[in-house]
Amino acid sequence: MDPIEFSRTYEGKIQVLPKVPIKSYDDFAVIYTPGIAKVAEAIHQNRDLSFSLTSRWNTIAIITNGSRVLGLGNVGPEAAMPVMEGKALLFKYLGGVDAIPLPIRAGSVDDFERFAKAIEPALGGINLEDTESPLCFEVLEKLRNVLEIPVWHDDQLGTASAILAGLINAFKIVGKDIGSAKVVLFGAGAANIAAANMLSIYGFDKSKMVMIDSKGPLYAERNDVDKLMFSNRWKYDLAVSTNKEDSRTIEDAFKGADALVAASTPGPDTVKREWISMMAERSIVFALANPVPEIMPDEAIKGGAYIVATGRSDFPNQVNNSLVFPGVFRGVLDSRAKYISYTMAIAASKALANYAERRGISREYIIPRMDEWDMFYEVAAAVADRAREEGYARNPLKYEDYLELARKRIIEAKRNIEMVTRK
Amino acid sequence: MTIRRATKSDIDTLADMFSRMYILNSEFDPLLQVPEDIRQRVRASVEKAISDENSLIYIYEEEEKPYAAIKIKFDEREFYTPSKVARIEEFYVHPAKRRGGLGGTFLNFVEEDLKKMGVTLIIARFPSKNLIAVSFYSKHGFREIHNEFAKSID
Repeated sequence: MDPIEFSRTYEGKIQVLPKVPIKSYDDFAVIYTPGIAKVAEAIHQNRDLSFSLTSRWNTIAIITNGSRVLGLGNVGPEAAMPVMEGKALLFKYLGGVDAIPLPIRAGSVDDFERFAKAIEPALGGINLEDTESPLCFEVLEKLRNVLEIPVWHDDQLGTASAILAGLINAFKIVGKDIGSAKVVLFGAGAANIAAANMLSIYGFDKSKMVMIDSKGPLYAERNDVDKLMFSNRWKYDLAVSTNKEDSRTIEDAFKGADALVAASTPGPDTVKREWISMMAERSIVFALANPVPEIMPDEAIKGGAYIVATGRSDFPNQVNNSLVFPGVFRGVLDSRAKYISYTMAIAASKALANYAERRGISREYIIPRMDEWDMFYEVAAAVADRAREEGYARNPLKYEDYLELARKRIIEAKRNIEMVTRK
Repeated sequence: MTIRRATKSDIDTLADMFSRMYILNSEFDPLLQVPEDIRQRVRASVEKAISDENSLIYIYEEEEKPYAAIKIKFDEREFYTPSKVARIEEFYVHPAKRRGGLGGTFLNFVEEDLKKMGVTLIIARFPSKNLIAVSFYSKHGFREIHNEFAKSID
């Protein structure tokens, strides 16, 4: 069906429905005034009760200013709405999370901060989405510091977690040591910058990474690095901490590399086959641009790649943030976490990798598929458990309890959606 | 780590460092645009300063590799005391070596050296929108004493 016709037919993709049965007129006195005043009073005495006496425990906002929507660029908040509605649907269907799409008119960190602080009392978390770089880094950093609910930027952390999950298993298959691996990060946008940091926290050696942007490899002495210190300090940090072998050309960067993580512009020839052929034996190639990978899998294999992953579901090994965000939010909401740390995101990556490993990893199966629904329960429980370990959980439970909670809530959400949307 | 006075053999290194500094300055304000031949101009200025008794250039090295440089010019203030001041005209630290305390160590050394020469006042000049420089100098005991306002009347 034509997507515009589809949207016109349904007039949007989500709605708000009550979950409380209304059996008689008298019920309104409990649901609303006068009875509800007692609930308001209780929360006034203890604000944390807002998580258990209202829907706050399961409600998040999807916030964007529409400045970098999909591959469309800066289309503005109104045009971002259908995308955010779609994401809200995925949140509910895959993670059982009530997500409110909120595209806003915001141009600065202060705009985002004011808005997020203002709506924090109604929320259990915030998912920042489709906002241009480096503003997205500044906003994420600010909101993580000033709010007492978890804030996540899916384009950074979601994609980075999926990349790490894929690499954990890919390195197991090729039998190489992560700590001494050379990794090329092709593209210096939000996803790869977050990936570089997350891989480094996990155990990859940052000095052996080489990040490549439209001007070639990033290195400390490159002419534009002085400016980056002011305009994009996240990229600047990588310029001075990666590439210790001082690669100055793309060819130098690829030479002997064990893994390539491309998250840049769509292919098919963004990454050339001859570059792949310069990589080490049994190389790992992640070409994640959508809709067309930077290099098509068959080309990468011809170039000598041993394992290839893309962002697409019609090829093996789909490395996609959709594997991560539903479980991550289920986990932070079930633990009522105050924060999402990098190590909690890494717990999600490990859970994904373990899930696939248990099922039997191979060159064509390094990461779970989207339709392996029970993987989301395990991601949720791993994230919640880590939140508890790190002291961020307002609701500390055992791993098994988190797992059961996630399973119950996701299954219930799916059942509810099926009931409501049944024709 | 070694801090030493620059010699003629350092001219190209200094021209690279200081021209990068001016190119960075141009990012802060359109009135700080640099000409296309900035490197040649900076090189000529450094060459002159090395043999000029009113200038001093210091180089910071680690394992004989230069990572930072400071150029000082001595000025006389006609209407204020003390009249003799050392003005930091150029200060550049290699990106790989920033935020590790190198700048502070280097500046302290230069201050001590200037004290030995009887200089009691040191002045730094940099674009007002360079907030990293504002923070650096404030942290090292400098304070704002002049404002320089500019207006294009082109």
